[in-house]
Amino acid sequence: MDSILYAGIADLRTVEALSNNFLSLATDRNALPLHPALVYDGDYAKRGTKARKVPHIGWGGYDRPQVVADGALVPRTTLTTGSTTVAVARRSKSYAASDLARFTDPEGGILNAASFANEAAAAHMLALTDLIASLMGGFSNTAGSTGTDLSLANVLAALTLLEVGSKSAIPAGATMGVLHTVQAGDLRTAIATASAGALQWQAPAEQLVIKGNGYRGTYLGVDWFASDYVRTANSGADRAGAIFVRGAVVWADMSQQAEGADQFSIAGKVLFERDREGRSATTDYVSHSYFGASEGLDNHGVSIITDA
Amino acid sequence: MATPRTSTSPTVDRPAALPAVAGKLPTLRRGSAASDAKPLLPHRDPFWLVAHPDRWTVQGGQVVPYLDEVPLTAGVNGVETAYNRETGETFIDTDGLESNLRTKGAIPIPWDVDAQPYIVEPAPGCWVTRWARPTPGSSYVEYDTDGYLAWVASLQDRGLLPRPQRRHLEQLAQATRFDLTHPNTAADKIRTAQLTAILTVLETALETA
Repeated sequence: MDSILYAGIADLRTVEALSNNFLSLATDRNALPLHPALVYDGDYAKRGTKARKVPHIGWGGYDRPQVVADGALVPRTTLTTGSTTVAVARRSKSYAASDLARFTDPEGGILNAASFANEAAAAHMLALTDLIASLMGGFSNTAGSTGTDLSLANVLAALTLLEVGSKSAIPAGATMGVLHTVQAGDLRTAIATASAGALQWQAPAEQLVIKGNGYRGTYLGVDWFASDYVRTANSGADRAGAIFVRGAVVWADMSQQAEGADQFSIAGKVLFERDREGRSATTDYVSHSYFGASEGLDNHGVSIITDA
Repeated sequence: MATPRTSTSPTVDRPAALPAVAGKLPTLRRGSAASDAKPLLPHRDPFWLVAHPDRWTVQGGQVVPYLDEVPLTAGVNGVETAYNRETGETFIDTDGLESNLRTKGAIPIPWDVDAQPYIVEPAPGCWVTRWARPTPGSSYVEYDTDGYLAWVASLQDRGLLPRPQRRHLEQLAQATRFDLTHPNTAADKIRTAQLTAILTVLETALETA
């Protein structure tokens, strides 16, 4: 009697069954948090423009009083000014799924409105991270050497440049460091091998919750974050991370209000809508957000350029 | 008297034929070589390379301007998308960005500085410099550093990019010496060798500056 072999019961088995699990393709899903070092210029909704000018003013002791002889006229002080323009721009994405694709989706599948909405919320928050990370290489002050790994000496040099440039001390919790993942790894290695481990990398669990998963820890008063969105420099030889204090980066967003039954607003910042094309039995799941970020005070940040 | 046994190599059981289960050897589809795969590169908007008179680095044995990649992404540094009513086309408005860059003394390098633009799009939506060599099926990117440095030198020769002043060389040398003397670096032979080479370049440049 023949054995019942898998190969002989093709009518009773499918070639491949669909697993209830799925594996997410690799990408950096860590959205940078709303850290005190980031200046939020507010919600641009209902302000009559998509762009605003954020003034820089030499105020509050920027110009010191001059010594003037008794009876002499004091020269008028010139007010020093500058500005940063922040413009919000639209970001959108759309997944279209046919009815046949949606209705054959198994339990736990992703082709449903709730999954598309969750995906949209995550994707749009990463767009803001992308904006902020792309500013890191632009500061005039730099530390690090092309083609060499980030070191503690680079961080110490950057901190001094930051203090000199911003004319301020580095208050704990008010300084943000955004490095590429490779740079953050180099920093961890440098700390781990320094002083026989006397210097510790601190990233308590409660801080991870507050600051986001990209948070790598606090060291020398700087909250360090790692992001794959940090760009390359010097034709790919390096990565351009940075440390900065409040004033270096200004960002803004624009709230959106849902109007129709097929729309809803996610946290006020992402408009998610369902767009039905009945004739083709296809549904689009569309989402939009409006974010903008600009470099503010150049000397309030230091780019850290090290090996990629 | 027993004959001494000779030592023999262990025999290997070889199948008399190819595995019966397979029936026949699997054949590779033609054209499925790795070179057909696309590079696994993330989305990257077009960008300008931007220099600044105070930013310098040592690369390939030369002191060269540090060139930042400034993305022309709407929403970043004042970049906006705009609509041309006459042509009906949407375009990237970089006026705000250019103003921001020039205010702080930065030098954006235009794409048409050469006959061939310095950025290319090897995969849809992913822009890299023309010296990048993406690897099919991989996220690894090789860079033609020599080609890049020759291009930077040509920009300097044409007066489009500055050359370092003595103070820049001194600042870089000072930072490199500081790095070299840090205990962590001293314990790292690779870093020590890299930084020593950089310092040699800087000291040579200082002698002739």
